[in-house]
Amino acid sequence: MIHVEGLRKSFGARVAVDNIAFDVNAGESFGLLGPNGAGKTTTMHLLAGLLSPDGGTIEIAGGNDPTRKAVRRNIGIAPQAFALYEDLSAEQNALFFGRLYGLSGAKLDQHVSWALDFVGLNERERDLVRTFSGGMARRLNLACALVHNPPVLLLDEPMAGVDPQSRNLLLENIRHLKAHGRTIVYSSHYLSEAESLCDRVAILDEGRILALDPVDDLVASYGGPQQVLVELNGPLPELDQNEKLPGTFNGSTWNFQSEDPLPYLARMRARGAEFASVRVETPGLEAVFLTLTGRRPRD
Amino acid sequence: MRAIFTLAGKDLTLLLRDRAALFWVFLFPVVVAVLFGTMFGGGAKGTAALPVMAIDRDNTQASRAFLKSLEESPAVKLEMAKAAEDGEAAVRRGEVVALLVLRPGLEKSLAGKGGGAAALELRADPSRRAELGMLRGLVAEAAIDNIVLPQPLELMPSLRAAAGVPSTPRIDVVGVESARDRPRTAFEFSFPSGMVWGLIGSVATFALSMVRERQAGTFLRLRAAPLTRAEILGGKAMSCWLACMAELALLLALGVLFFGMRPGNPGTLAAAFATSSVGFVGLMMLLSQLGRGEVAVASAGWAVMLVMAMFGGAMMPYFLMPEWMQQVGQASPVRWAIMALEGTLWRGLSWRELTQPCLYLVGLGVVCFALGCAILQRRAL
Ligand SMILES: Nc1ncnc2c1ncn2[C@@H]1O[C@H](COP(=O)(O)OP(=O)(O)OP(=O)(O)O)[C@@H](O)[C@H]1O
Ligand SMILES: [Mg+2]
Repeated sequence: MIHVEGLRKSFGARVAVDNIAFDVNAGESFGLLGPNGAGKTTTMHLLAGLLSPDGGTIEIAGGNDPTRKAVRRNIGIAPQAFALYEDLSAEQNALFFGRLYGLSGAKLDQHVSWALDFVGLNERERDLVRTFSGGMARRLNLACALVHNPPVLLLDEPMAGVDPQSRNLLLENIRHLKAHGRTIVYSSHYLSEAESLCDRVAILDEGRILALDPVDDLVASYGGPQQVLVELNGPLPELDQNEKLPGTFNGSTWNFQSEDPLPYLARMRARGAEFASVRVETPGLEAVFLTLTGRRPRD
Repeated sequence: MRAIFTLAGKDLTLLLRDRAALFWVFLFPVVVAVLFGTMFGGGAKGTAALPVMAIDRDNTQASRAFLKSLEESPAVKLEMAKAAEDGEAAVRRGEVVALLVLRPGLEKSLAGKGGGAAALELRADPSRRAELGMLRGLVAEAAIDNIVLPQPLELMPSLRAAAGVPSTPRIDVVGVESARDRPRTAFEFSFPSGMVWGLIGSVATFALSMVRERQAGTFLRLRAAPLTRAEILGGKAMSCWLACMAELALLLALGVLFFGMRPGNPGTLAAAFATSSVGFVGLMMLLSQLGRGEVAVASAGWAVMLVMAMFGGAMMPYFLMPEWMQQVGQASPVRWAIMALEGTLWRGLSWRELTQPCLYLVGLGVVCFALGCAILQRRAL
């Protein structure tokens, strides 16, 4: 559905997207993750035909140049920055953008109420956008990208500022879209969302793709081993000099990394230690991110 | 085309919700038209030279002397007409205040031998009352200076006035013929200028709406939609044009209903409205690209517009301005819009006479629009 090759874009001397390539299959959801300034938005805008690339090719939604209007008809983009008319109501915004995609009459009304329902805003549809909270505006921003029900959706940080309940509703609804064959490109700083939503994830930094794989594979390759956090009841038992246990000891806590922690725990038990709690932390995208970029995302 | 109307509909809805914009586009022009109209029924003093054309049918030494002294007056800018028709056409176009005809018999009349008939004739638009009043005075003055007095009185100029002989030559004023019966009020001056202020208000409003569109990110979404660049800009142009036309129509309606205006030919009037609006839509497009932020565009826009308005005759009547200002004003679209509007609202310009201002306005509109689009294009990618 999307095929990108050798894509490059610079702003003056600053290279925003540096020779990236990826494919997204129909019905797949594809995550773009990366720290601020990694080039996620620039990539989205190139895909949407809002920017002309300096080099490389883009095939999207059955066309090979999204700056052509026939190709753009099949794309919906929710920009990172709100793109709404503050002095129109939510419904008027959605109606207007729907009309631009050639919808009219009963079909338009139907699409608009579906899109507003999708983001849970149908009760506020008559209110002017200027009276909306940030999260509500963010949701309307998404609704306006969906209103023409395009086969390809480009969602640039669609959850920024959305409260947890609404976020769950949105995630649920987006998964539903995916199940109905929509192709989704999703950029986010919220790794948890990307983990739960995206089939595959590209980690971007400084305009380059550092890694591109299914989430599980990424975690396996770059996530590092599991972290085990043990809280002991009482003081540490005496340990034999040459009986090495991994990790660090700090008062009554014991931290270590292992893919297979059970033998160590058993040995500790054998020394007479009692465990108040044992926590095993599986690495996620966060760890992948940290390993690859040396930075932590916002979330 | 449907997309353009969708876009324009959105802009007009937004306009109706913006009180400040409504004020500048619709209310302010009405205030200007009514206030100025009420204020300046009065005379004009200390002005630039009045443009006048003359034709000498007496062609005597006395008539030439008379013309010479008229020419020497700093208050008059005299030009000889080749034929009466040329002069009248110039009057109809508003280029000169009057065509002064020196009738045969002027010499006799100046010598006090002309009987009662008037030897001077001003063919002028009676509606230009202030200018015509001044001109009458100046012509009379020149005539008095050239009166051939009987010997003893000539030696004693101070006695002239006292003696009152021979009497001041009579001047006939002939309305430049127009098929229509036109009521003349000061509002006919002030309404065109009010109309132009409304156009200026629309330009400012829509130039700002372009900037807001960019800042609010909606321009991005428009570009992401299946629209061509031309359609997006066409939508903006269309909405601005419609707002201009609505403002002109509102003032026309008020003028006709309450201020005794009776415009003639609806065809030329519509053409003047349409082309003035086109000219200002082009300006809007260019001004909207003069800066990136709202403040930059608003201040640059108003500065440009104020200068244009000042030199173009929207602040004071054109004839009151010093000559050099009038010259500079030739470049101002405000001047040409006022010419077209005045011309069709009450001067009764013919289609042919209207061609020049209309062409200028359309040409300016197209050039500015193209320039604005070019700048935008360069910025957007
Ligand atoms: N219009 C522009 N002009 C100049 N530089 C730009 C422009 N847009 C983006 N950049 C630069 O390109 C780089 C990538 O920006 P981009 O917006 O794509 O990052 P991002 O991954 O979306 O970041 P964020 O997480 O903050 O949204 C940045 O260094 C940015 O400064
Ligand atoms: Mg971004």
